[in-house]
Amino acid sequence: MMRPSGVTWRVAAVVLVLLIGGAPGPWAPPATAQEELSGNMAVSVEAWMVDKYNMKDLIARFEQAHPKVKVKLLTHEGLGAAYQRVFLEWAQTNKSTADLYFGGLVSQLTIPMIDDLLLPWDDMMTGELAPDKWIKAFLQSAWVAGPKGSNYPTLPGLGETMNFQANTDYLKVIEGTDAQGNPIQPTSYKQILDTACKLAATPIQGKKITGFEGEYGLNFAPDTWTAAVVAVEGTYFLPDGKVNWDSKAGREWMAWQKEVVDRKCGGTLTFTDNNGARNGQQAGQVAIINASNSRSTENSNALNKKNVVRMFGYPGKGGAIAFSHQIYIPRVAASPKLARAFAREAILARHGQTWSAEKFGKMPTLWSNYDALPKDDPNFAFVRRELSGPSMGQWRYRDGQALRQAYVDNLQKYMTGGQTLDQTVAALKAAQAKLDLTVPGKK
Amino acid sequence: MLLAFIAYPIVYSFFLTFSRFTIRDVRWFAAGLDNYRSVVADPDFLTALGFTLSYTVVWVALSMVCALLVGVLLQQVRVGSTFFRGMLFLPTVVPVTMGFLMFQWILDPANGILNYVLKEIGLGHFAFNWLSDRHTVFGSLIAVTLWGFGPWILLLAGLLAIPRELYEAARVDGATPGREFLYITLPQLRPTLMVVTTLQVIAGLKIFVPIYVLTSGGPANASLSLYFLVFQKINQYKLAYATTVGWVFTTIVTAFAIITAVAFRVRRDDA
Repeated sequence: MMRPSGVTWRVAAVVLVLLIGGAPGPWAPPATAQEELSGNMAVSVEAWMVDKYNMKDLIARFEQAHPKVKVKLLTHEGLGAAYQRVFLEWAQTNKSTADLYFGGLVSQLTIPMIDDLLLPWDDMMTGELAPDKWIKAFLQSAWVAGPKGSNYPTLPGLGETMNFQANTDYLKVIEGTDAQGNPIQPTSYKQILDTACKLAATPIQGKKITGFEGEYGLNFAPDTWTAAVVAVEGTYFLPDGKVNWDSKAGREWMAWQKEVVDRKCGGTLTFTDNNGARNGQQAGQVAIINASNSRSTENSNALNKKNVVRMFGYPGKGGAIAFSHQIYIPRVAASPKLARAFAREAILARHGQTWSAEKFGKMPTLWSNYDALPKDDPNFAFVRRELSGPSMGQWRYRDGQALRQAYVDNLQKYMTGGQTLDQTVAALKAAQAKLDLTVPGKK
Repeated sequence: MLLAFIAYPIVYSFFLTFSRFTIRDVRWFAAGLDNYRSVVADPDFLTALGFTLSYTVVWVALSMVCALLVGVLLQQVRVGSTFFRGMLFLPTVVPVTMGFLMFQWILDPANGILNYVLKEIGLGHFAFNWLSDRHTVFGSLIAVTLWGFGPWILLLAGLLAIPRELYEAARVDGATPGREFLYITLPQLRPTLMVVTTLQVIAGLKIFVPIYVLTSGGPANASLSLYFLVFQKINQYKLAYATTVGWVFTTIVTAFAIITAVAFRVRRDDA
């Protein structure tokens, strides 16, 4: 038999090395489902999210999973002129300070959605991120009409619903809770008014409190109106896509808000302080507020008593307003691949979404993450019922922010006696007629 | 540097007032005078203009009186002047936003110390919803922005520069403190008063931070200032419109500065 040549031995050695190097074994690092990523990226979140979404921890975990990646955390303001600056940067300089943005409701993001400044997420929405895995109430606001593959310029990162949050310790004093300690679901606004007035008239823990604080500022006022309409009429839109300011439920809602204040059963802190109602409830000074569901968790924590603040819904047939803070990547981002990985593995992962829900009531946007929440928490169960039923999101007009301001201005004018309800509705219709109601998406 | 940071933005923004501006692009001069027409016809602009002018007139008058009073008192104080000046200087070193947040708590209708004290001393019927009531928000903003007693530091510098011999000579001639003030202090302080008043007028017209922190222009636009209106319009992506409001406002500020300078024109010293 011929002995193998030197070349043969060399080839065999190479093959052996390849076989050993490629074969899984106890000496090889275990294969992971995560991609091998490298490079730098920046993620920008609304300033409040740094703590309430535990961004530093999420970044640390992501960097640990991908040692060759460095993530820089930036912040931007939510209310105000920050988004204009961000979008101008993308459109005018073709650059972006951050690769991934987290924060901003759809009503604030309509401009980049309409102007096609965002990378669609569609090709990432497979498997555990397939459309049917999301909570429809949150995902629907991110969807835009258009060719396949371009329907999701944003994705919901965390979500909330609009309802009422009540201090159940105070409600118990006036027998306003059921056997499980939950607020009795009112079937009419008169019931809520009577409850608020009773609370305002009854010394609670030896002090006089405010029965009800509504939302009358830019932060939430329009959403409380849309929630009131959806609860009764199912939609706040007319068939032509305009807002139905003539809505009977909407008129009743505004009239009710005025009555609560006129009868001195409710306050008006949020005329001038967007956080007035929340702060008042956290200080133990306000019994019922009307805001997003996260207030129930947040305010219970502030009052140092788990689930003392619980929710009840708008009177009506069921139907909620669900909104969510979006995650989005500008088309001009330098590191879109890293941005997607961070969104998938950090923001949308179980740890991030459940942590924020349990600590601050910011709800997960994927059912698998929602299912991981404690089943016995009454607030999570309440929101789940709302999310499982009919719902709508915020309006998405090009001049949507101007319409929100018009609502706030006219509502406050009405509530302070500056105009009648009919004049308020007429003013809102007139304001809407002058605005650009273009919506995102291509037919 | 002058060109980059002053001239270019001024010219750019002026041309913008005649243009249509979106996030994506600018259509130069496509709007003609439309933006100016929209501004003049906008009830919010007229509301903001009314508030801004009213606030400026009242605030400047009161802040100058306060500042003059404090300055004259400090000028007279011999013992402990450093202590008093230090105490009065404290509001100046508190960050502006923190100061206004503090007032938000003081003026809170349910939990604020002001209403608590009023109720305790039997004046509960004056325990108003200071910042959320259209009848009290104007006065509340005036009171809050008078914290710090106006530009007394600048006036004090001017007062201390007045030669003491003038006062001594006047006293020898039998002048009362009132006559000293009218015939020595005020005339000698004229150049300082002119400059300080002009600065105060400009500051008053530019009011923004207390509104942003305390009222957001509410309730029902009762505290909407021109600068805050510009901010609101930027938030609504009405960028050309907001620029136009800025230019109209700048014209008003410039007019006031000229009027103030003319009104306080320093007489030539014939001697």
